[in-house]
Amino acid sequence: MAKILSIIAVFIVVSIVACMHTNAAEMSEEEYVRLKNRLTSEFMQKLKDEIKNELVAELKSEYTIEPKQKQEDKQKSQNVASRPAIETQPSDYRETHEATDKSKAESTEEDELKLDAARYKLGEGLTFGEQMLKIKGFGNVDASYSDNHIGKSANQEGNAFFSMGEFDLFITSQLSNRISILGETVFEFESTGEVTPDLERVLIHYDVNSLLKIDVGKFHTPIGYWNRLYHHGEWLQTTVERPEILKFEDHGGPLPAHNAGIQLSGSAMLEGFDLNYFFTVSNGRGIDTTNQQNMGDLNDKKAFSFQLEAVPHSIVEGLRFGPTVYYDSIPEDETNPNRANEIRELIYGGHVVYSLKNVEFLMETFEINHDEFSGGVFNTFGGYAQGSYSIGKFKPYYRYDYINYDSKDPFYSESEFDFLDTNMHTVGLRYELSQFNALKCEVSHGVFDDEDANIIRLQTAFSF
Amino acid sequence: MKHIPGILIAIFIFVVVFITEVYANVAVIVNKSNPATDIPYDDLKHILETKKQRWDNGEKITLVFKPITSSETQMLINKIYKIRCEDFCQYWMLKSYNNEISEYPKMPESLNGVIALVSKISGAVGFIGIDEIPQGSDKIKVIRVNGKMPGEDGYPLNKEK
Repeated sequence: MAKILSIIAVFIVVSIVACMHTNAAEMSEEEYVRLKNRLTSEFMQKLKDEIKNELVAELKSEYTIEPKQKQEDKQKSQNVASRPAIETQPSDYRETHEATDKSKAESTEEDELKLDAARYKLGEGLTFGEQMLKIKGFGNVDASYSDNHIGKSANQEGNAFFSMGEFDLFITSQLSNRISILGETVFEFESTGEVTPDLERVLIHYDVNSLLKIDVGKFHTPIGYWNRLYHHGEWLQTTVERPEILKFEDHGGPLPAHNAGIQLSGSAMLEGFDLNYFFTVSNGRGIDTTNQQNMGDLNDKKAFSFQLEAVPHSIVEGLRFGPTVYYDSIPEDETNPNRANEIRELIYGGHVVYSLKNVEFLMETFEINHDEFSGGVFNTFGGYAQGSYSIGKFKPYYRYDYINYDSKDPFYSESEFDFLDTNMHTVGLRYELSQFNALKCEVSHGVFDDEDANIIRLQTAFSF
Repeated sequence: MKHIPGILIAIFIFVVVFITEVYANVAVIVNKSNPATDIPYDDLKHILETKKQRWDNGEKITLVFKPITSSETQMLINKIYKIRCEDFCQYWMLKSYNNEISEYPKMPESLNGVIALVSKISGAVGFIGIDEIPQGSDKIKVIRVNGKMPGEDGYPLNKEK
C-alpha cells in the first residue's frame, strides 16, 4: 500500500514539475509581450471598425432615414451577425460589415436616383440645370365632318377632313426664388401647308406674396374662367373645341383672348372663403379682331380688365363665381371707311363653376358693348354652359353655346371672319386612353344665322 | 332568398374594411429648422392647394407626397383636393400651365424618399402615415394641426370611418 502511495506521490510531483516547466515556457516575457501586443492591436482594430461603421451609418442616415421599426430590425440583425464574429472570427466580422456597407451604399445610390425621378411623377416634364428649365408639350390631331360649310375656321376647307391641331411647347424656368418665366410657343399648320410658330404667351412672373403676383409680358386676358384657365394645350380641356364665344382671335373668336401688358393678381384667404382678383393693363386690341398689339399701341390708349372671383369653400366645396369687366379703345382703321372711328369696347360678364370629384359644371356669359365715337352703339351677347360627369376613364359631356351678334357692329362685320349668330348643342365623350392621352368624340348640332349644321369631331389630344 | 341577409352583411363588412383600409391617418412632417410647431387646418389646406406658397418667414414651401397609390396621399386627394385620384396629375399640370406654381410637388417612390427630402429641404412639408414617423430624428419633426397631434381625438387628418 505504501509502495502504491509512493508511486502516486512521485507521479504527482513529476506532473507538477512538468506543468511548471510548461507554464514557465509559455509565460516567458517575450511571448507575453507579443501576446499582449497582438490582443491590443486586435482590440483596437475592432474598436476602429466599430467606430467607422457607426460614423458611416450616421452619415448615411442624412440621406436615408428609415422608420424606427425597420431601424430596430436592422440593428438587431446586425447585432446578431456581429456578436459571434467579434468573439470568434474577426476577419469574418469585417467581411460581414464590408458587405453590409456595400449593400447600404448601393441602396443609398438607388434612393438618390429615385429622388431624382421623384419630380417627374406628376408630369412635370424635363428639367435642366440650376434654373430648373422645364419643357413640356401638348398636341392634338383632329378629324372632322360637317354637313354644311358654315361655322368653320377660315383656314379649313371641305366637309370632311383630318386636321393637324396645334403643337404646343410650354417652357418655364426659375430665375430666382421669387422670379420665374413662362413661355408658350405654338406651331400652327396653315391651309397653305406652312407651319408658323406663334409665341402665344411669354411672361416674367414676380411672386411677391399670396396677395400680389405680378406678370409682365403677353398673357391670356383674365376675362372669364375658361380663357384664364385653359390655353392652347387641348389635352387639358374636357372638350374638343373651346366654347364658341371663347375661340381664339385667329379662329374667329369675338373676345380679346391675348394681350400684352402687366397683370396683377392675388388671393385673399378669408374666413370661410377665398377671394381672387386679376387686374391687367395692356395695349388692347388692334384694328381688327385678329390684330394683337404686341409691339406697340396704335392709339396709345390702354385696355383695362378686372376680374373678381369668390370661392366659398366652407359653404359649397368646389364652387367659384365672379364678375369680370374689360375696357378698351379700339383704334380706327384708316384703310376702311366703315371703320373710320375709334370704338370704345366694354365687355362685362361672369362665370359660375362647380367642380368637385366627378362633376364639372361651367357657365359663362359675356356682353360685348361697342360704342363708336360717331354715335353707333352695338351689343353682342353670348355664353355657354357645359357639364360633365366622370365615370372611370370615360367622361361624357354636354355643352350649349349661344352668341347673338349685332349684325351692324362694324368691328365684326368688317372682319375676315363670319361672325354668325350661334345656337349650338354639343354632346361628347372623352376617354382617357392613358395618363397623358385622351380620345374625344363629339357631335354638334348648331344653327348659324338660320342655317343648320351638323358637325362630328374626333380628337386625340396628348401631353408629353 | 334566405342567403340575401348574409350577402348584405358580407357586402357591408367588405365596404367597412375597404373604407378603413383606403383612408389612413396622416402625419404632417416638416424640416427640423422650420419654426412651425402647430398649424391651423385652414392654413394646411391653403398650403396643399398652393394658395399659400411660403411659410411665415418667407421660405418657399415644397410639398412632398408619398406615391398616389399610398393611402395617405389618397386620403389627402379625397379630403383636401376633392378630385379623383386619376386627375391628380392633371391638377398639377394645369396649375403649372396657369403659372400658379413654379415648382411641382415632389413624389418619391418610397417613404425613405419623403423623409429624406423633408430632411434636406428646409421649406418642405411631407405627409406620411402615423406609424411611419421616424423616432428620434434630428432632421424632421411632426407638427400639430389645430393643436392636435396625429391620432388624437379631433385631429383633422385622422382616418374617416
